[in-house]
Amino acid sequence: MKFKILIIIGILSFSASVNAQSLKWSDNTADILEQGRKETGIFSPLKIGLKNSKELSIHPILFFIIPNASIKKQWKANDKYRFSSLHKFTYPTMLYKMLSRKGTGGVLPSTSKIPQMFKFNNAALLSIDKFNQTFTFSLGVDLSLNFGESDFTYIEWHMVYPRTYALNNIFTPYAGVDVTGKLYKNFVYDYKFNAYYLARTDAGFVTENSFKITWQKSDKFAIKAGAIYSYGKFPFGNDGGLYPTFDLMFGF
Amino acid sequence: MLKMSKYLGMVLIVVILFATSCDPFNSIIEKKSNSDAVTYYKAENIKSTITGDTLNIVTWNIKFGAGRIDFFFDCYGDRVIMKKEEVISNMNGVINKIKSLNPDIIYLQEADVQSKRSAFIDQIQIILDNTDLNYGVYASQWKADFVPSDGVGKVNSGNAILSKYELTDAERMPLDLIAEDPAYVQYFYLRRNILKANAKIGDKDFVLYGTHTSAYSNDGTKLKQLKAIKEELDKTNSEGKTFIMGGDFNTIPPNSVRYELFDDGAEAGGCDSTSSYFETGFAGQLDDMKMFFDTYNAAIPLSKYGLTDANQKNYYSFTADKNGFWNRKLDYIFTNKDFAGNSGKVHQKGNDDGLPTMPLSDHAPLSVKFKLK
Repeated sequence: MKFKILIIIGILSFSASVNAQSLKWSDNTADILEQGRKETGIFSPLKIGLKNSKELSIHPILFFIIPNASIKKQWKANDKYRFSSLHKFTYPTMLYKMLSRKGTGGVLPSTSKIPQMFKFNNAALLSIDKFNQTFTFSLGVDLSLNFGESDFTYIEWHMVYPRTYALNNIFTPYAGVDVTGKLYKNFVYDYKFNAYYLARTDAGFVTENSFKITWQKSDKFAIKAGAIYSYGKFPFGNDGGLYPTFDLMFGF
Repeated sequence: MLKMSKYLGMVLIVVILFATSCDPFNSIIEKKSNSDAVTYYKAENIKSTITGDTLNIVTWNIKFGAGRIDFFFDCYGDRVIMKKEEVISNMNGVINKIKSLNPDIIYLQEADVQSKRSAFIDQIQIILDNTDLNYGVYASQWKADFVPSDGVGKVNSGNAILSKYELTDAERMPLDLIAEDPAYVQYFYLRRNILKANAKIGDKDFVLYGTHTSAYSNDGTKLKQLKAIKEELDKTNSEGKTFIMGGDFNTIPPNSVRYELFDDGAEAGGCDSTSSYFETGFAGQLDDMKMFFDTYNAAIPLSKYGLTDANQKNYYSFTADKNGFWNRKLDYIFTNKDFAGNSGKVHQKGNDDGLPTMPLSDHAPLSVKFKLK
């Protein structure tokens, strides 16, 4: 762990001497895509820059099994800071019903009773440029409104657990900080820390440290690769897991 | 400049390679060394032990504290996950039976230590804390951060050896994976093993072995596993050491009269041939255990097991049907020294202590006394 922290500090120190990243590609900040720009990835959603400082995001492939949409609205942008809010809606009922099955792909028992679930995510994002890096502070809450007969278990897998916790427990507040900047030429790093507060049933936190490097070949193509370390209080006790992340991004 | 760009490109490639080559669900137990893959346990309070002329040895597959709840793989039911109260209630039954059997050494199979299906209760620890047993070693047989099949989720289940005496130098010795299984099934499914530990009892040194071989192998993997176990026993025997081995071998003894079409099959509501948990019977496997009986002493020797169903049924130790009766013998204890004559017993009913075993697991415990003097 100490080694990982040293690597992150080293990269931050190095990158402090170079320019801030290009804003063409979307990121975890309060910035939004330029109006008319679109980008998507193999695993990432389709994002579209709209007028009036808005950014729309939907996952077109997953949309048919988990209808979803989010809007990021930038409310304030000046030399000192940018402030945005993020509003996301997902309807995971169909996906959960698909995953409640016997045999391979059965994430939940086939006997699960899945209610109608409407999940809302609202977050505030504040970005500040300092030392040629962009620091973003976020604060948000997942809220799930469920209707109908309900008898299904949580999904305790590291990264999935905090993101789906609200489906079993109504709400999940979270907060995070993100640091991003240019590493060298068209290589951009992004480090993000997120903490989810799991308020019900054996309250505790799940934290995530993610680090990725993006090679922005052009405004039309980029490769993202990195890792995410999830640690915190799970139903089986404190635990952690390190997972790779990877995506091919396309902009147009 | 070009050099730096190449360097960063290399970093990116390394990250991508990492992304495609790791073990994201932590299911590959063998990535640890044999000794590191074992967990040592100790009871909360160490109880004093008096060593007599014999050691009481027990083996028992405890079906992860599920008692007789019909799980999906039984085909009788569709349960996947138990409530905490159910597990505690079932484990209380198992603990009471173990206390009554009062083993000096017990071999456990299908002991869960951190599984969603058993409410993440560490069954080894609660047995140690609530019986006269003091020490334990555990080796995972099925372990994954998340199994995306049948709603199983996180699982950590395996073999254990619990003892009144301290256990040392434990190893988890991997056995062959089922060759006919596709790679993703091998990755997420059971990884059989031999659990080995040393114990010093009085002035005698023992090598203890526990195992649980494959149940649904039709491709010869189980026989390979049995041969690997036999080789390990032969090695220890040739070194002049004393061993006691117990486990669920998922194989019936030679001379068994009943070897297929068991009464807990499809007609009784159990698994039919369309199920991946269908037991095809033991035709062609009747001699698979012979090598053990030929070389070593068994808790239930073949002479005692006999040649008729009327006799053999006294030693049956498994049924999937909670409403039926034990219908095959899958559990064994072997040694290269001597058991006390005729002391081997399958605890089928619970007449001795008023604690019936049928509600506690799909296996009945097998016990035998080992002669120390």
